[in-house]
Amino acid sequence: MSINKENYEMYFFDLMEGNLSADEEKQVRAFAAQHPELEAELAAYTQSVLVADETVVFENKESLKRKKGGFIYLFHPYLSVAAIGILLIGALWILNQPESSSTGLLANSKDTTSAVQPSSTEQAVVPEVTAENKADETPVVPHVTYATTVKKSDRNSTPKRAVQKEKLTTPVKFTPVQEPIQMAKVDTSIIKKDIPQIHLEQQVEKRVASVLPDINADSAQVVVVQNNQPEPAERMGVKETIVNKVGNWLSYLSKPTLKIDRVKEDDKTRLKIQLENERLKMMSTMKAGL
Amino acid sequence: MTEKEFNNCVDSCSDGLYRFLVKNLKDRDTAKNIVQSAFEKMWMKRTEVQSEKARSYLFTTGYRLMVDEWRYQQRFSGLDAAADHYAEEVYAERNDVKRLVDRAAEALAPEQKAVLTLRDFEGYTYEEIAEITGLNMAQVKVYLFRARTHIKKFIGSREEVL
Repeated sequence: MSINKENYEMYFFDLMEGNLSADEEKQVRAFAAQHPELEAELAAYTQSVLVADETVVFENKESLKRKKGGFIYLFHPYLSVAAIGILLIGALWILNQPESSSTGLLANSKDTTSAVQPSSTEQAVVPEVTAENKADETPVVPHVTYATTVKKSDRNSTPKRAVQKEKLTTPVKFTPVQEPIQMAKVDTSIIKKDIPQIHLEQQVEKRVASVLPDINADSAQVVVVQNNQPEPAERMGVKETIVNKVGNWLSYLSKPTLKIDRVKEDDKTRLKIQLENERLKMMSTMKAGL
Repeated sequence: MTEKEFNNCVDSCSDGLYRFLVKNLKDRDTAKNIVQSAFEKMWMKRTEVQSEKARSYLFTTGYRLMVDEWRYQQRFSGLDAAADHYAEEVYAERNDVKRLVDRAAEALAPEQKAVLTLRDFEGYTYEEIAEITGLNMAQVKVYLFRARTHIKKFIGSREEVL
């Protein structure tokens, strides 16, 4: 070790940082004593410590904390078991309903199977549809329903079967869900509120299928998949929850705009959320984080 | 990590992370948002993050989010007004030497300041700082040396005036 006037700053720094052995420290102090004009610099190094301001605290710690389980777990454990049982029974009851009373949204493969055997009521209600009519027919709803899926799969069967299938599909009274595109502004104040995190975790996290920032278009597409069946999440306003979730993720963005669109596909509903904000150009590194 | 460990970590780490971010970003709202996001991410990765590594995980995540914020601020320099206001607030309350150190630190390059803050606020070793920031240990030491030398010169020049 040879400390001199050319390299003393590094030694002063190492002394201050505690990087020196006792022997080296002794030599540096001896050097500083020999050069009184440098002692002020050594003192300045030792003062160059940033001190944290203890008065700066994160105030709302409770908002960061997690509470046990989902909304059902908030109650007594036995109650949660009972609630799940009731939900299961309810679901089974809905699935076993006769077709005439079910809506398109609730139609499933079991319903359509039972409808293959035409009942007299169906024949009375449903007009016969010819093959030409069928060819010209465009789906009433752009979204693909279960019923239309069955029709496509049986396209090559006999005409008699085809008529049967028309009878099958028509009674399924599917009401198109033509939800208008909604524009939602994410207010950052939403994020600061105590969002029910349990709902986010249980009902949204699983459904966020992908986040696709489009660097060129200054936008990102969050594809959220959920079953076509009405679910508690949907009833509880899954859209709002997603907005909160995405808003939380994008809380760095200034006023991101979300455009929500619902697209029905074979057996799923996709909520496409367009995030519009030019800061998304910077967000590519975060896309895996949602 | 368990839910209890996560909640304990909120109590023990959120203030430190928040101070680190406030010091470097000079914007309390953005710092709060990053703290929230860092904890959110840790919750999502809770099965992988061990409780003893939680603090380091939070600082690493917070640092990365802060780097994104720096890049954004570089593009939209209009956001600096809030930062200046914050700086004035802090300086007014500090004694002379601390005020000088704070002022000197404001002039540091963002990476140098972040390394210095991790060292002085949190007492992290060079190795830990390297893990958090993605720098190597030599770079960490160089950044620290430059930061302290800058502060030393700043103090020297101002003490004469004072």
